[in-house]
Amino acid sequence: MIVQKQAQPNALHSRPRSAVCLCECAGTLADQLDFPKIAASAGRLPGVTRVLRCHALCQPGGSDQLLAALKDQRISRALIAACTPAYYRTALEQAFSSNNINPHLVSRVNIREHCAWVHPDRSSATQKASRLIASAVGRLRLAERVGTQRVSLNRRVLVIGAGLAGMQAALALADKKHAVTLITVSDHLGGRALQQSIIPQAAERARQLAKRIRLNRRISVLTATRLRSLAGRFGQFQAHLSQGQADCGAVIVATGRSQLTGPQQLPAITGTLTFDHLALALQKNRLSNLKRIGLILDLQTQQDRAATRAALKLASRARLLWGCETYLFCCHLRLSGLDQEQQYQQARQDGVVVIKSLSCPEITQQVTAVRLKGTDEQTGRDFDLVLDLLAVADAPQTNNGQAGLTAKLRTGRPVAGLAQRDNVFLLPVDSGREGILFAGSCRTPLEWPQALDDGSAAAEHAHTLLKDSAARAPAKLAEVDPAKCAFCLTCYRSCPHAAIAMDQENRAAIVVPIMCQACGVCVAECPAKAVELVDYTDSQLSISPASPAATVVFACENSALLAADSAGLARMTYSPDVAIVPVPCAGRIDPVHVLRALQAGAEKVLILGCYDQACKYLHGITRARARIERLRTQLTQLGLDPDCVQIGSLMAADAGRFVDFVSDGLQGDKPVIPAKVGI
Amino acid sequence: MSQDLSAKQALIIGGGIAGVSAALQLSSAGLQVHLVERDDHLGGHALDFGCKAIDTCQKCNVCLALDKFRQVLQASNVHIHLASQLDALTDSSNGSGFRATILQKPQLITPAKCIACGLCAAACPVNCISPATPALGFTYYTIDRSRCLALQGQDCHKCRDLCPTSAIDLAAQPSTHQLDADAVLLAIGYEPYDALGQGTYGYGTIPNVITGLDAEHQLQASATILRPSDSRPPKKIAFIQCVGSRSDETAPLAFSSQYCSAVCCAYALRISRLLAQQLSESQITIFYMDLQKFGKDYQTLYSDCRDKLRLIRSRPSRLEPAADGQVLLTYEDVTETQVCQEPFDLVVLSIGMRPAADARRLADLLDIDVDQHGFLNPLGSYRPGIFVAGSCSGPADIAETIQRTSAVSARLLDTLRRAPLVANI
Ligand SMILES: Cc1cc2nc3c(=O)[nH]c(=O)nc-3n(C[C@H](O)[C@H](O)[C@H](O)COP(=O)(O)OP(=O)(O)OC[C@H]3O[C@@H](n4cnc5c(N)ncnc54)[C@H](O)[C@@H]3O)c2cc1C
Ligand code: SF4
Ligand code: SF4
Repeated sequence: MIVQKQAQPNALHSRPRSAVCLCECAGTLADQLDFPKIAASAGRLPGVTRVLRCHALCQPGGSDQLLAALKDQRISRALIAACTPAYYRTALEQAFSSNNINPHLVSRVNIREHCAWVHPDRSSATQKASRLIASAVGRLRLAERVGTQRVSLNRRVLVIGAGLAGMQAALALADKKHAVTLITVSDHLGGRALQQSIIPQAAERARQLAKRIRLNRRISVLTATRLRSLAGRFGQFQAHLSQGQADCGAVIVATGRSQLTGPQQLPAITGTLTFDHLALALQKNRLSNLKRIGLILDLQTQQDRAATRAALKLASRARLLWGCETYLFCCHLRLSGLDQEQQYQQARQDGVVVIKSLSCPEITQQVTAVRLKGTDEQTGRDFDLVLDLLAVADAPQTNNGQAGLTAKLRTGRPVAGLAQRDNVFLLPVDSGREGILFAGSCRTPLEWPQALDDGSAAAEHAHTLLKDSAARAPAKLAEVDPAKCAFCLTCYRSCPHAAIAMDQENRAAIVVPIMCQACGVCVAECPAKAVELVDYTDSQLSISPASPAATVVFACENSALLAADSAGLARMTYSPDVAIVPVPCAGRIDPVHVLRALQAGAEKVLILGCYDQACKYLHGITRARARIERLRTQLTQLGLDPDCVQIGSLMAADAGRFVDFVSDGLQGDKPVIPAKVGI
Repeated sequence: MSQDLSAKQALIIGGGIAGVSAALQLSSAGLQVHLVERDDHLGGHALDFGCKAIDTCQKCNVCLALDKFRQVLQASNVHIHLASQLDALTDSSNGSGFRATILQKPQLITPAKCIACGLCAAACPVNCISPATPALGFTYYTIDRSRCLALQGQDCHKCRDLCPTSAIDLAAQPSTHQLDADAVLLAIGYEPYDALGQGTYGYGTIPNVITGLDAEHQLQASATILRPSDSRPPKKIAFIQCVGSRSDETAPLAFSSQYCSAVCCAYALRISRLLAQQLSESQITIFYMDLQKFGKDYQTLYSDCRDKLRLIRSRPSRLEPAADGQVLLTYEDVTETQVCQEPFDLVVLSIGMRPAADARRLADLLDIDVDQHGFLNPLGSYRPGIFVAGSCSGPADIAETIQRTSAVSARLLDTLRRAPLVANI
């Protein structure tokens, strides 16, 4: 099947008339591109009724011609062939909105950074520009006008967990006039802060917040209550609780890490205390006659800043109160922050001896004492100490207690017992699922003042989402054709943003537009080809800009496309046979696009996207990689060269890496996937 | 009564990741935001950092920062004032909010007009014109004011004559303008520790001694790190931690840097892992006191580092030039209790963070407390409506900067939402 033939436009739509607007970049590209020739070939494209040559679109008044043409009712869509849109997009969008033009039917192609500046040969740069324009016009002709719809929002927020972060969030939301349902599994408000004797300030703050919450009429508190399940969409969730139901627009998860600590694994010894016990003993001055005591911070585990703070504080206090020799054993003190180094110096001045070693000392149990033997790495000296008392810091444990909750919320599997997935773009409080936010130490280890901050930040985010009782959302982004849907749940499971619901009655999946982020992962995953994504439909993506015998690069708009822009700005060069097709996410690409490109004559297809965990669409790139690996295996089984399809990761500023990818790709014998820029 | 935020203006001083993420958050809440940046471009330090991904992302968050810089350039209600300083801040005459005086250096090239054609840069006889933000996939050019011949009084205007959009004005004058603001957020960031101050490490005189910042810049420009002396991949690499942080007797400093800078272990270990993978024959040694924990998958990263890197708990005493461009490093090896000397091809000084150069002046101007190290009080000013965010209130990495900033922005918005109690009846 030859692709260009398939996209016969007039049959599909009521003869849309398009304009092509060529920006000549203030005359600076004349040596690189033959504009009269490009204009002539654009004028011959099907459906193109006008070609505008504009001097500099980004300059004041530069878009007047285009605006006039678009206001002219006979022109319904426009392609702008210019530089990278960052130079002109904001100004143009403002001009569009003041002239009532729906920018949806305007699309863009980059003939400067992707052509003129990277291909020194004028005639091949010109030819490539014409090809880019032809394919973009082809895609534009298939574009569909999408309106917006009104979506109602319930301004109530469900807060799960009544520790410091949860209580802070609840109060901050109530302040912003949101009704709040605050639930906790415990039978009282306050969370872990109340159980700790080491930080009395945190406990005090927890009591104050709890009191304010009980007096606040906007907050309904349900203790001893769990979330059973969460149905509905952002703006209209229905939370089924172990007691009753709460309808809400958003959910803030602040479940802390209460069950996530436990004793450190040490060689079997008895008679050690936890830090909490030690703190109590110090508070009540319960122990006496101690000659020599030890505290273990982190011999078998990685501790946070908070644990170091506690260890130093307790060691100092014990040393001063009991006058005993006090030793603190550790691998690493976590001192980041302004006051911790001084706390450490203070402890040493108080007479605390800090012993550091990466290898665990030999620990033996004696009748009433514990013996520790090893070498201090700071001094190189051996120690052999018999201690009357040994206190061991609790250590974070990997506990999958959060997994049940995140499964109900559909926010992905927890990492190391933390509810928020480890992805760069979720910082600080996002879950990846619209309307669900994380706050406090359930998402990352935090000290208590930061947990409070997190509560306020999450409340502010929730408020931004639910400012009004209604919002406008695109009428559709990804859309399922119910007639084709096999109800197999593939899209439901693969959507990184959990934006798909299953309509049991009609036996079809439905994409919720207000939650859809338009990555296209579901479209590529659906085995029945029942899902389409606006602007990136299968037929649109199959229109290849490649010359025969070339490399087609499906470039993620968040990374590879920007890297290509940077490569242009840096005037790096690569072969004009490399043609870029922008995609919202590498996860949008499925084997069909690859095969069509190959059938259309491409020698090689490269899919370039973000790194896993730095993908805006969470696991978009991961899914794409799995799919492409399967395809490569199939190609091998068919006796074809699997290296004609490759997938790679890069970061948006990695211009050099982009050029390496597309250049290596052309030679065809180097494995692209693992190598970071070669030396 | 809650206030309509779209009628309110916020003034943010400093356009690093703190200022930019605040600008995004405040503008999405509806405020008009003025972002005042001292340099000719936004982005602060993180703009020049490199990606540290090996096969997988190491979550250094640099790409996230770059993404936010791109976003803010497109945000419609954020007004960016480049090459500008806050000169004065008075209470505004109507009793609520402030009136700020902003000094702007001459804008020799107007960013909005520049199309990045680069004709000026190619024509400049002293090479003093360069792109400002190429890492964003979008840039304009800027003139280095200290080297421009025209500004030294010479008769050169080659660039101006060539510029196709008349974006260059070599006679541009500094300007002053006034802005009204209902709230002010200070986000002036930090200064990297000046390694020239650590005389015994020979930074600036021994070519193959570089700082972590140099390493970051190389990483962004070329995705790897080479020896400056011969541009070849180094085999034996040393990282020295805590340079200019956790200072003790070895640091000849006017005032203390008795704190841990919180970010150096993270970038040093991530860069080391990256180099260990890229340069499979290399041997990397880290000289450290304590390794700080960072990130959610620290456990994996740490055990990987223990496998692949040589960790030595020691603070080297001096560096000297040696044959073949090598650097001779002297340290005390406590396990053998003796002084050791070892040559390295490249030594990276993991420099830390110092208070921003302008911190004291602005603190005085805005009534903000400064701690003994020179960092600003994170709680803001005694004057209501003035806030502090980001690393100017203490060392923080990008993640922590974003996290803290989003809490401060929330506080700022809450303050503005409360009706101002103007009691002038
Ligand atoms: C060598 C090194 C490597 C690092 N690597 C990483 C890393 O890989 N990952 C990570 O997360 N963090 C890293 N960090 C930390 C990171 O740089 C900071 O977390 C981050 O830059 C802090 O952002 P900021 O906005 O607070 O400050 P800055 O980035 O310093 O930004 C401050 C901005 O304010 C402007 N400014 C200053 N004074 C004024 C004034 N008077 N008026 C107007 N504007 C002013 C400055 O020009 C600047 O644009 C590293 C730090 C160092 C030293
Ligand atoms: S396009 Fe992406 S976000 Fe939207 S429904 Fe499909 S998978 Fe989910
Ligand atoms: S290593 Fe850093 S810059 Fe690279 S992808 Fe990961 S977070 Fe982004």
